[in-house]
Amino acid sequence: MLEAIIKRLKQDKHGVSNVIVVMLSLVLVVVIVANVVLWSYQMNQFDWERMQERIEIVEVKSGELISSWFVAQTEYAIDVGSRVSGSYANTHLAEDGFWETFQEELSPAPPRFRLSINGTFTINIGSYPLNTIQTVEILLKYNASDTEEKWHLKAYNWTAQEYSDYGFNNTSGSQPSTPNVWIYYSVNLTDRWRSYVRDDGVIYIQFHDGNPELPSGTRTKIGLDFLGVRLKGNWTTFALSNEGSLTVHIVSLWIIESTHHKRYDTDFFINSGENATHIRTDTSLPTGNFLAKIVTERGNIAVYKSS
Amino acid sequence: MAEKLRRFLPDKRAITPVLSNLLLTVVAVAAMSIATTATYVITTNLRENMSERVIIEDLWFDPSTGDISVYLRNVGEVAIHVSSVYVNHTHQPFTSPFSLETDGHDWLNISYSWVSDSLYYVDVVTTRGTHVGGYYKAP
Repeated sequence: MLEAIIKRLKQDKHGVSNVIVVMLSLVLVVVIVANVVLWSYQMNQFDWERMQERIEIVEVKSGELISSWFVAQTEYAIDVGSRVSGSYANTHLAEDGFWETFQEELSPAPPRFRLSINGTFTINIGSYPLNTIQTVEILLKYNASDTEEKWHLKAYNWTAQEYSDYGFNNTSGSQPSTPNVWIYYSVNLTDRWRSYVRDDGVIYIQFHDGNPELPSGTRTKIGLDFLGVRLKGNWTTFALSNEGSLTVHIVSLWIIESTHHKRYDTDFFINSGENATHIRTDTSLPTGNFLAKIVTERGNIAVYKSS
Repeated sequence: MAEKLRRFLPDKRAITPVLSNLLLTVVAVAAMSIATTATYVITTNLRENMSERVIIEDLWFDPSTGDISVYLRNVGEVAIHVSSVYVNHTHQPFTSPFSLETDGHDWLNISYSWVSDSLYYVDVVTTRGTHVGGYYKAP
């Protein structure tokens, strides 16, 4: 059958050129149509994504502000004592019903019941550059099984190369008045904070007993519900809400007042359905009325008017 | 080899069909090249027109200069070139040439003496014919 067709084609060459021309023209037409359809699809997708974006500026604040808490991201190291239950993750949130428990152990000579633990905390210096921080605050929520001892917070002094509370606003420690009752204890590192924060934002915090008991005394159990570090500084924060179904990339930020329109380059992402706070250390808000504006990579704009 | 050439050269039969076929091939190749080039040019223009997206990030009636400054951002997939700027449908001089690469952004200054509390329709037109603009009230 195939041989017969080939034989006929070899004998009769009429119309072969027409067939070739039509085929080549078809190829060209297909290439054009395919490209047009493809580009149309790409740009339609872009426009569709742009329409799906729902970004809103909820609030803009400036002045002396407090950061969120930075908590331990690794297990506490125990210098003296032992871990009874829980893990460092249980010290991330207060009031959540979970905590980590430690217990005093007998120290080497002179033998005393002692507990000393330390944790590593890392400040996000990308969001909070060190030169914009005014001070650092440490908050502890704990309970003790007895009321005989004072408990202290110290931080590693990178200059003196030792744990210290020099310069803290409170160095007297915390003593529970009732056993097993949760107590909040906070210390402020005042203007000495820089000695306790390494250039990469790392702070080592130590929690230890103040007056160790004799072996005949009580072995205290400590419940640690929260231990965290936060910063105070002079910043401008933009509370943003992404109510759309796509991740939003913010590329520009505007502060507009009657006499000036100031633009800042920004590189900030917010996941779909999330609220986020964008912190600026290079922006100050005008004293009078102003407009804040953010622009997304897809070209949408959200506006906030100060009241 | 020399023997073959000596036999081939004196024999002039079938020269005309060979030449005609050769000529036809050249014409066909040339025609297809022109068609392909035309296709490329047409589709490139089409693609660029379809991929052009520009937004106005901000428009500032600058009291210090008395001009109108427009901050443009290219959110499309091709570079843009602004060809004309219209204020209230009248062509106005602007900082020319003004081009933005993909993801590019910059101020475009329009020389126009605006009046407070007046409404203006600002229209920025690119070389490919994309319009971006709107109504803006001077403070």
